[in-house]
Parts: sequence; structure tokens; C-alpha cells
Amino acid sequence: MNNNKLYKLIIVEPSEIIRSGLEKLFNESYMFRIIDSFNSYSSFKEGSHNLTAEIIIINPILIDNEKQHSIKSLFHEFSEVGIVALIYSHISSDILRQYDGIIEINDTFGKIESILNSALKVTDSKKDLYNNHELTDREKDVLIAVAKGLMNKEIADKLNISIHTVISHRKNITRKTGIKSVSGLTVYALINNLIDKEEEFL
Amino acid sequence: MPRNLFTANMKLSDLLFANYNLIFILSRFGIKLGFGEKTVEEVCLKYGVSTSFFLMIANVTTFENYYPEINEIQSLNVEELINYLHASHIYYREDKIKSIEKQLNNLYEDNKDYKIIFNRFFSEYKNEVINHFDYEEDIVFPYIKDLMHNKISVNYNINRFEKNHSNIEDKLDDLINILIKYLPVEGNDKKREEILFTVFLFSKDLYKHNLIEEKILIPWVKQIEEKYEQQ
Repeated sequence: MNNNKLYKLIIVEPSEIIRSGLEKLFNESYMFRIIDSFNSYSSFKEGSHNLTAEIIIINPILIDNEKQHSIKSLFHEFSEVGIVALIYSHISSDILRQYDGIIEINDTFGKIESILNSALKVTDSKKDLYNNHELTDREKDVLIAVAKGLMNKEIADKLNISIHTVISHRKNITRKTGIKSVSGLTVYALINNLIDKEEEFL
Repeated sequence: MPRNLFTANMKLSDLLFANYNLIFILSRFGIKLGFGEKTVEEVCLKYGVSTSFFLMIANVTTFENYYPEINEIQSLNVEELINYLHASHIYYREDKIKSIEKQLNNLYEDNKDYKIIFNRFFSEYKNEVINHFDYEEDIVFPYIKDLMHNKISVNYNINRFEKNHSNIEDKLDDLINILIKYLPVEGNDKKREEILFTVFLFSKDLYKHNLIEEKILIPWVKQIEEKYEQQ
């Protein structure tokens, strides 16, 4: 359904009980959603190629001893992703220091959410974007063009911006309104009087 | 994955109390309400429905992230599955879509503009959904029926269906967004609430319908195709 505004999590944790417990808790969350979970580091390595997440929660005991001290290089391909440790046994503080956050087994769910929130690596401006739901003037221009049936390339030419920028405006429009389809966006533009009925029927 | 799935010796009525969306699937199996205290198995027996297949559909419909294992899928009578999907298509087409269309049409009786806007949006959606169903009815189901009778097509395989199997709930979710957030306050609130409920239920129903196709129908066909490839 409408999950596009949630930050995505990947869980790497050996205990099935804890994995399903977390899944259950995060199902109720308005900020985070678990998109996949793995029971070992190797299955995570194999299975995570096509996944994009904002945060990976991993139990440090799943990482080989000799690699415990080089978490950053282990996760180098996830430089934009927050890496959070989930611990329920003693782990030395040298190791834990490398993580972007530490969740302990007794933490309340509220605390877990706030740990994850500060582990997010999305920039502040991006966070603001997440919180701002009104369309900007530029987004309205793009929306109007979409509603009139223009293609991305045509919109880029018309507004003198790159296709890449058009796409990013379109993503933001969908994220803010929740509306994905062109015909849905057209209805939005019409009832908000951004375009005339006559214009759209041309 | 949930371990407390529905089972054959539960009372059918308890399943409906646990998930009232199952009310919609009964008629697709030809099962009528009023079954008293009978268990799932007893009711299925009475109506000539395979209990394991009924449970599979009821469980997928009810439990998020539950999909049957491949060995359960292998032992499936696929004809029964196709009949179920076909009955769903008829229900969506003849019942749900028509009733949403009618409700939308009555929403703003006095506002001609809105009438035109929504009619146009919904008729576009309707065409899309009907094309989606027609493709399955005319191409995919006959292909599978041929497979069941050992007729192998060289021109088609299920990957083509899987790749093009489009999401048909997105536009309904767009409609929900518009009705909840953006339509100005005028006209009849009651009617708006009623449409919202109908569309929410329909969207969820379609979502599960697509899951059944993707997690049961397609895997079933794939394992048959693989067997032929090995030969």
C-alpha cells in the first residue's frame, strides 16, 4: 500500500524469534518498515543486491572475528546507509564504536525508533523534504505538464531543466501526494484548478 | 511467517470472524452463508471444494507474508485455481467495478465538472483492468490448460506473463488519496465515505488476487515448464 514515505530497514539477525518480533513491531511504525531480513551475514551478502534501504540492523556476532574491527570497509558499498548494531551479549566497545547506532535487546520500541532516526544518513535537507508535504511551485509546474500529457523529455525542454530533475520532481510529487498514476495526477491538477478541463481535453 | 494458520477442523464461521474479507471469497467457491457450526472441511466437502485449496486461498488472503511452500503448490489442482481466478474476474467486472462506477457517478450529482473528471478517470481505469483480465482469460489460462493436457506451446511461456503482470491497484490507491485528501468539501459526505470503503476493500481484494497469481499460479506453471525443459 502506501509505504513510500517510510524509511526501509534490512535486518540481519540469527534468532527467528527476534526477527519476527522486530517485524511485528515495525509493522506498526509510521517511520520505518522492514523490507527484508536475513539470518546470517552470508545470506545477507547474497540476497541484498537488489534491495535499497536506509538502515541495516545487524547483530555483530554474525560477523567473523577478524572482520569485526573493519565494519566500515565491510559495508563500504552501503556508504549512504546507516549501520546499526543489535546486541544481546557483550561486545567490546571498540567494535561498537564503528556503528551508527546500537540497539540493545531491552530497549523500548520508542527508544529503538529514536536510535534509528539518528542513525539515518539522509542529509538534513533530505529529512526536511521528507517532512514537507506541500508542493513547491516548480513541482506544480511539472505536475501541470504531466497532467497535460507531456513526456519527461518534453517537460525538461519546456521548463529548461534536465530529465533527471524532472524525474526527481515527479518522485517528490508522488511522495507528497501519494498519487502515482498520470491519470490520478491529472485528477489532482483538475480539482485543484491547476489546469482547465478544456486544456486537458485538447 | 505465521504459524497459526487456518486449518481444516476450525469452524468456518471462526475464519470469517478472524477476517471478514473472506466473505467475498466464499461465493467464488460457490459456498453459501448459513453453514452453522460446520468446520471448514465439512463445508468444503458439501460444496465439492478441495479443503487444502480453500485453506491455501483463505490463508494467503488473511496472513501478510504467508505463501504456500512449493510442495503444496505442486500438489495443487490447477484447474481449481483457474476456476477461482476466473470467478474473481467475473465478480470484479460485473459487481465491484460497476458499483464503484455508479457510486462515483452519484457523488456529485450537481457538479458537472467533477462528474466529467471522475467519469474519465474511472473509465480509463476500467479499460485497463478489463484488458488485464482479458489477457489472463484469453492467453494465460488457455496456455496453462494446454500445459495440463501435455500440450506445450513454443510461442509462449509464463515468464512473459510474469514480466508484464501489471499492478492494477495503484490507480485505486490514487482514487483513495484524492477522495480522502483533495476533493473539496461539497456534496454528500455519506456518499464519499461509502465510496472510500468500497474502494479500500476492492483495492485490498485485488492486491491479494495478484498475490495469488504471483505466488501460486506462476510458481505452479514454472515447475511444470521446468519438467518439460528437462525432458
